Amino acid sequence: MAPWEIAKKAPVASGSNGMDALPDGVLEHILGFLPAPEAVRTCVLACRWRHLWRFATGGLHINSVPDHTKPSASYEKLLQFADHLLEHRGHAPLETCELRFVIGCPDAELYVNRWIQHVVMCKVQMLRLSNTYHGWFQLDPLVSEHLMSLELVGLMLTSRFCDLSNCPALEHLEFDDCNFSYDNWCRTPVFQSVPLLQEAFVRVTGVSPDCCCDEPGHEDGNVEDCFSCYNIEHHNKRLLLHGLSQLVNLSMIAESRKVILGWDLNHWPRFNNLKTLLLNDCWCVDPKFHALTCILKHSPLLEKLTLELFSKEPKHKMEIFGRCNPMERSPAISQHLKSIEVNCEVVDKDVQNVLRFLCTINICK
Amino acid sequence: MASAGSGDEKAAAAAMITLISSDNEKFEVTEATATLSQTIRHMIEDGCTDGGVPLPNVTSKILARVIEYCKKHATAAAGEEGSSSSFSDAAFLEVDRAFLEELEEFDDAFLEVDRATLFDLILAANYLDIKGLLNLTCQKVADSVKGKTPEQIREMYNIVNDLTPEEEAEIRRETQWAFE
Repeated sequence: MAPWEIAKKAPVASGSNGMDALPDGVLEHILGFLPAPEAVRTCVLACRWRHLWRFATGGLHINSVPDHTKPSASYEKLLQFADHLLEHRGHAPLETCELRFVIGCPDAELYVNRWIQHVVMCKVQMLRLSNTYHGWFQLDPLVSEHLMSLELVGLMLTSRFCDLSNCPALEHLEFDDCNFSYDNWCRTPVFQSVPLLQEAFVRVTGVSPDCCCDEPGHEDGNVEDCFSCYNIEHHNKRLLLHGLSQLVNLSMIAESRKVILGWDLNHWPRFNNLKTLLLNDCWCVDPKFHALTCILKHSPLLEKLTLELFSKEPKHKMEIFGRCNPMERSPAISQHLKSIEVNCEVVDKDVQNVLRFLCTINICK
Repeated sequence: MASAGSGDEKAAAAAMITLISSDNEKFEVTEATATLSQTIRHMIEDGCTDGGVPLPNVTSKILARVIEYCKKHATAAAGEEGSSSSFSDAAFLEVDRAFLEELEEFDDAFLEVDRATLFDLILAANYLDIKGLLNLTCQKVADSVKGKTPEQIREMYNIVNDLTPEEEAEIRRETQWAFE
């Protein structure tokens, strides 16, 4: 029997005895909320604490990004720390794992891939990989029967890594500030089939070093070579979107209108299961609101549409709720659409334009 | 995704369960509230809740707080299930966001307790297997030791250091990589 199971069955004593009254399983759970170095350092608290950190099965938070206010923690030391930690921890099961890193040396790729492989062997269920500085490096493909949630931040993703068909339990997927890149190593289309995948969050950035070359200021103007556009839809592969077309919940935030202009909306896939959809203002652009119309047309079961317009706050100042006019419903819109929410800072001219457009397809307050 | 007990909300709301604290106080709660505890959920599934569920490890003072938490969060869970399966009414969504904020405020206020009560809540959440409450309370303890040295943590929580100086030195040597 695993140690955390034994602990659960231990008799419940009074909390007035302080921390000593808590069973090992609970102390291990508490350690899972601490940054990894602090969790490890509890080993000197008392005899009982010596090995507890190794069984912090709830969470593991490894940060190998140097903090300039602490010059003692050099980049190399941070990398080695994570290596030591995983080696000493072994393969005790792990629920969630967060790896923060920066591609600061040629070996970083080796380190990060090794850590990922290790936590996958710990049967990790929720994995968050966060790169704090954009850099080219190859992540090895993920193979896990246990992974249910994957969050990727600031990564340059190749189709080799994005083939998640070897993670059959995956239900939740997030791409935040990631770029998608086509590579020569492998021609497997992205996201073959992940049957359980239900929800995804995608933020396509336009401000990274590899932002759309079609932006003003870029002289090359070669959209074919632009990572942001090139990858999401490349030579009819439509790498990203087609793989996501089975989703039930989808949030898509684009940080540049040009990113969307680069996509071929005529080949927009049909999202046959999509029930809730969140889009930001880059999708709601006059003239004719082509992108928004196109997405609505291709979402026959949509029930809830949320538009975040020119507002980055998590708490929006203005929330406008609308509904479809059942009598004069536009044939292009899902019969099931029952709720429309528009979030914005102020109702300015741009927001008014969107609202006016919604009125033309019989969505009103 | 639908779990047992959430299937028929009306039936679940009607069924009442009696919980009996260590000091013999009886609490009547709905099945929806009680089944936030996996321990009690299993008892219900096994059909051994007639005549009340004795909880010899939980005092009435703590059980009252735990029930307060479960009531609030059971309503939230019911709301979430409703919204993911069908949108019966757009107005419902309007309250959705406000309710989540309210829930957060509730959790913050709920944690405003002395240390002994916090540990008692952790023990009860662990025994009753209420994941949300266990995470909430354990996070609070973790936050309180964040950034503290081992010495400070010992002092804060009266942890007696039963390691000899030699043993402590040896452990520090073994895990030197974490102390650099």
